[in-house]
Amino acid sequence: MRDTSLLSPSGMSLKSIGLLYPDLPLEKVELSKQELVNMEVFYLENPIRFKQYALQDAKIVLFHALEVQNSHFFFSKKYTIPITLSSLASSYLETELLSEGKYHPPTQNGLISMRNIPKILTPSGVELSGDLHEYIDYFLGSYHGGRNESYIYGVVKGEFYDYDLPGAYPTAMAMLDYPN
Amino acid sequence: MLSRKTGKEFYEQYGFEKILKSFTALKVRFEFPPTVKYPNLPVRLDFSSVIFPLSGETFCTGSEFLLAYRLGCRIEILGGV
Repeated sequence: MRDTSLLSPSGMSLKSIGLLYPDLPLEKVELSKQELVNMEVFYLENPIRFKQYALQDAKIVLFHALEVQNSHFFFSKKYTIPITLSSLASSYLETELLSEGKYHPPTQNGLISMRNIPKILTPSGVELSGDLHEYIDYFLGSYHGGRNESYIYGVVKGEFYDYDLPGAYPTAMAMLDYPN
Repeated sequence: MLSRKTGKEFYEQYGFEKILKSFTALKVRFEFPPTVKYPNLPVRLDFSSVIFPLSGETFCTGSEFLLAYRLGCRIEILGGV
């Protein structure tokens, strides 16, 4: 399962994704407001156009997914569709750094990968991971995800503002320092 | 591994820079002054809810500790790295 909005810059719409490929017939079929409101009526009144609309959306998604997969292979020699664009970027960076010998994946005693947490929490993992199993809980417990709160519930009359800071966490993290 | 100590002892032992830039993870018991409008320490309530109460027990990172400490929170370090 993949989400195309996670595989495009800043969650582009499907229409914008289609426009990324101007040489190909991937323009999204535009529907009127009326058609969008009741898809069942739209289907009954105009089944051919309904089919065109549905197939074209699927074609855009499929083509874009294959292009991303192609890029993943080109950059990292991995023939899978990444979950997000950022994972494609980190995969590329890791491949580059590994090939230049500038990166060593984190391991404990050279035996247990610190990425494979389920393996650390097994009888052999506990014994082979040095004291990693003792402090891994602190790191796991400290990860709470993003803060998201609604202070007032109910119907709002008049104007209201919804503030969203795209990339707020990575931006703040980037201001800290370079990871060593 | 850290032994039990107060937040003040922890802060004075390691200092701002070290706590901020190390991969610090702590288990703490905390209590903010009632005047703090937006306490910053997350507490997991159940599998889908995280709240930010004035007092409680939780896991947090070094930077979260520093902000809480600056807000005048009384913190007891229960363990950590």
